[in-house]
Amino acid sequence: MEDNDFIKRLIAGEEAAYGMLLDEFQQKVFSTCLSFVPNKEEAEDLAQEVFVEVYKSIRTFKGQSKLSTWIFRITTNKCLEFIRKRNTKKRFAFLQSISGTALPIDKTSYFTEMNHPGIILENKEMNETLFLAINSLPEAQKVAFTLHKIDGKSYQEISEITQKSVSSVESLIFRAKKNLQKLLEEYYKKMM
Amino acid sequence: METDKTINNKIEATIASAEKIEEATVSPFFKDKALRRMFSEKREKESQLWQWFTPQLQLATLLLIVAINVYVLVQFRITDYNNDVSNFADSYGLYVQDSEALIN
Repeated sequence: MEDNDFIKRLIAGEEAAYGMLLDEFQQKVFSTCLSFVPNKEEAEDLAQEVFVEVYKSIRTFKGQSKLSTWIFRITTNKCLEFIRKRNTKKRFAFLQSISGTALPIDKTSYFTEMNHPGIILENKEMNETLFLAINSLPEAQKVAFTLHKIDGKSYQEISEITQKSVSSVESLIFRAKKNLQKLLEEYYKKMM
Repeated sequence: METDKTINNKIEATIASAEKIEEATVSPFFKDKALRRMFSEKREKESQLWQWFTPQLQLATLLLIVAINVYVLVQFRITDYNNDVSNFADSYGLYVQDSEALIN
């Protein structure tokens, strides 16, 4: 997958090469999309957009990183772009949260309707609350935490995807956990 | 105190619940859909090369070709048929002389 001949075939636009690329990456890219956007249909749509983007910009791939890293970087950027767009549409909810009339963890202001096929019924409420809390984190923390805890990527992989050092990734995940604890504490206190 | 403990347990359980999310498999049609989407954009680009050749232009071109053909055909029929025949006869010595007639 990483060899030059294969990349040349991708650049040449060979359909068979893209078929092989999809065989290798469709599940992984979809899982990453679903980790950021917990809605099956939207995650699939985003994953397709990722492959279209790979097809369009394969010429810009210079081989400075692994092909897989480059694809996951595109995936992460596509997901963040999607979340940003959706979150701005929920501006009203944001104004409510500024004025203090809404909780930072609020289902109505979440950017998508949750429909994650990997969430089992007994954990549904907790998982949904976690996704809502993650959405309130600063973007860099959100990326590091989601890729590590939800998507199961290693610190090294996240470091390559985000082009940050491993220690920065560790620090981001640590701060993300602290912030999540604060957000969840506030949420559960209000719920009691 | 008890409430704080309950809240802390809930917080820890919520954060730990991330590890209990199972992997969801991608739809079996994903590959076909993605390939179609990728290559349809390519085909669209290719077809954009002929975008200037609109149906009106195509019709006009067809009419022009038909008109040229009709004109050439008509011109061919109008040109002196007899001249052509006599030229042909001259070339191959097929002309008939009056002096050779049996009856004067």
